[in-house]
Amino acid sequence: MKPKGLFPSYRLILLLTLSIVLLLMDSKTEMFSQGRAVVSVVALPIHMVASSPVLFFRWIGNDLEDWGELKQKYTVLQRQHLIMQSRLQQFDALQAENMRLRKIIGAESKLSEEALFARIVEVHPDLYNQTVLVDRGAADGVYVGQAVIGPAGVIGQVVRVGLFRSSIMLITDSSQGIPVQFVRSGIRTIVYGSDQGNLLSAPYLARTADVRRGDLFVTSGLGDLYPEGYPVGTIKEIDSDVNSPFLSVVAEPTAQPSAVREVLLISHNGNKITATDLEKMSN
Amino acid sequence: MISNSSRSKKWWVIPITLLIAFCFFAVPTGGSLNSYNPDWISLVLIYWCFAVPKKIGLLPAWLIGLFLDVVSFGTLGRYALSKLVLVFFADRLALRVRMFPVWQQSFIVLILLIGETVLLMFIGIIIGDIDFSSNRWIAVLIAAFLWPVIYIILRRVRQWARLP
Repeated sequence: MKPKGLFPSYRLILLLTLSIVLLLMDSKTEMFSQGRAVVSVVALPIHMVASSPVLFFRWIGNDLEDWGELKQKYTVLQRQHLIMQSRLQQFDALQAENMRLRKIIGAESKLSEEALFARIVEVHPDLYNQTVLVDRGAADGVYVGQAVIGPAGVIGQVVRVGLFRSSIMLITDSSQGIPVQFVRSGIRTIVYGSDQGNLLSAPYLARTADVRRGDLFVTSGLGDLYPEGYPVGTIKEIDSDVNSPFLSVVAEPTAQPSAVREVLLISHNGNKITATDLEKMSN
Repeated sequence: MISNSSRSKKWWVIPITLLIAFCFFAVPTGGSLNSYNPDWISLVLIYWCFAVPKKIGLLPAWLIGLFLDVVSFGTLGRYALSKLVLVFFADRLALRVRMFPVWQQSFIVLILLIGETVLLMFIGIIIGDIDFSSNRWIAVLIAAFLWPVIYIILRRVRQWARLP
């Protein structure tokens, strides 16, 4: 027993050291990112099985939806589509006007953006953080740090890329911070995820800051990660404590990040919007 | 354990049960309920450590954890470390725990899982990639309550596979 007793602890120490080295190397460097992208393909069948119950129930639900319900949904969607279209026409003209005005005041023009459509995979990849998987990966040109936008606002950012899947950390994760600007008052601050479910918190607003319940804030574009102007959340509760120089502000994300099914992955392609783009827009 | 009697023993059920646990690990339970999902892989690992002590071994435990790191898109080495330590202690306790009634085993399982969660929390704080919601402690309690169910199901599997 005695000589054998030494053996496992020797192996234990070896493996412990190896794990710690791995942890440090993977969190501080990009060394393994390419290798893991390829290896993560092994997760595909596991995630396929894990998502099957949800997909099954959704399929049943869709099948049982009756004709009238579908028709109603269809008319609502059609109406929404029409409204969006008319707004979009205005948007092009407005953007062109905006660019012209920016030129006049000599401001730098915005970067042009490209969007990649992705679906959320119905799995919950990790128990200890708020991540979701999307069905796009390195094979589709996804990269770490890409901003992810849902139909109603910012969802999060890409944190790890596999060959066919990437994981997205939601803005409601407490390790995430996002630079924002209030639409009404123009105040800039940083909003963090909070560990209490689907909420955000803004810890750095001074007690005298001009914020009210219901105020909308959008991405400010500072930090170069999230593109400017996408809605992030609205203020839900404001508490001011006499002893603290800061307000304690609880906010609600405009997009319910955990309920979204389809998202856009936004990438800056580095090009400034040019004069020819401007012509195209105004035509 | 000797090679000529191992022909009828179906050792492959251990990886199969672990693979099923991997699927359960990733099942979405919907919105904020996700954080209550117990760690099925730890439960299955603990069962096999108790039932067939020293059979899983430290290197396989480490590899299982590393595989989980890849599957969960997390930092490499996080689960590798936690599963390694979990199996090490579960193996040490196995011979004592086997004599206990199931509900007392639940208690030991609870302690093991609390240990693993504290370790993961600690790693998360150092690496800075963890969103530790207090729901995880409830998930650990749920796991301990699930232990008798896991025990009964896996004991059936073990008897069917004719493992010792």
